[in-house]
Amino acid sequence: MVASTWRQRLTSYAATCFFWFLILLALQVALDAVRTARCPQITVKNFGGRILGFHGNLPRASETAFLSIDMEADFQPVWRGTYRQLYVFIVAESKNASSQVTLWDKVVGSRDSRVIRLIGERAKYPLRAFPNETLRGNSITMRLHYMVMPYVGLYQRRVALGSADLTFHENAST
Amino acid sequence: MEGPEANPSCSEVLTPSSALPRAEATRTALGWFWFRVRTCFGQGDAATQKLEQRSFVQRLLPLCTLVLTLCLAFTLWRALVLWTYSESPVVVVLSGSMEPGIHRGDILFLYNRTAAERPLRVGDMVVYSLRDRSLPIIHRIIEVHRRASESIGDGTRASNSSILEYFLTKGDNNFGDDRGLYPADKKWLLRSDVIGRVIFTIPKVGMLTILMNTHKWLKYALIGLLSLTLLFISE
Repeated sequence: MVASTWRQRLTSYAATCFFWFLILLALQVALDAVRTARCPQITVKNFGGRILGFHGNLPRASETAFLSIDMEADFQPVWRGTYRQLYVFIVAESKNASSQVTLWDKVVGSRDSRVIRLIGERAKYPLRAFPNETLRGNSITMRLHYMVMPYVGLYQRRVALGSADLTFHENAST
Repeated sequence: MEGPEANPSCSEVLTPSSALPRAEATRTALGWFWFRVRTCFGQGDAATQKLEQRSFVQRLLPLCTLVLTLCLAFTLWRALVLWTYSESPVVVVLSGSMEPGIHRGDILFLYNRTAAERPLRVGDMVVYSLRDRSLPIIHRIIEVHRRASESIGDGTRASNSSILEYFLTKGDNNFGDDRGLYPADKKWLLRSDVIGRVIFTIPKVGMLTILMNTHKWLKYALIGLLSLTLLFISE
């Protein structure tokens, strides 16, 4: 029987520790992904929007609408310590979902409040019509989405329950 | 019975000047390294005489192991490319434009298969490449428009598909959208510009890659160290 040297023993211990670290990490990542997928859905309360301004006239310029948003959502039930952040965003969708535009977003970190309350909050991004198209006479549906961004693992995105509709009148003025 | 005289075949190789006592040689790090090199090429002390009895083919085994390891790594990489349908399924983040969610040095895994039930959507983080930029960019989609035909008059028309997808992106840590990064005649990204959607992250592991790109000598030192380790490990 050949006696192993201290170098061989050290290498063996290090390799074993590294192997089990990887196994445990993989298990934790898998467990985290399953738990995130099974989390209860967030419900948005008092969801609504208003048109603050409307600019642009076809065919000279693209139409742009500036909106304000009301919304309340509590992300405490879905938060876990393994998350680096939640990326929360409100998306405006056209009727047939041919257009999706982000209106507002926020990063919820580990030290931030997990309750988001918007009252007459001005949308961070304007709602721009696709070139050569109009917003007038069309309606949009606003929904709250969030993406779970863990320190290690899968990015998963979910949609909160609840939506708000907004219609642009034919005679919306600039 | 030990020593060079115990094995006549070894005595042809070992001379009093070349024979290195293990304890003497391994006293310092440099001494240990030189001892291993000489041992590998059959000039060690009596304790390593069995190495010198190896045939030519046996001595080639470490090299074969190295080549096979490289082939295995390449095969796994190509399999990953096929599975993810992305030309580079693993990328390292080089800038802080997506902080605080994604930091410099994080490793991201991409997936580029988009079935009809899971197209690219607003909020997805994508890696895209532009013709004027050598490095791909990792940003988030903030606008998606799907249209049946080419309906805008700029440089973004480049697809034979009946449904065209137009994307606008932005970094989480940037103030404005990415139109300033796109070429002058391009207002929207197309599906063909996207390398993949980010699905998985490992933090900070890519810092080694960044350091290797910053300090070229580190890259060659690591390659050399790994090669030597593979050569020695077969002992």
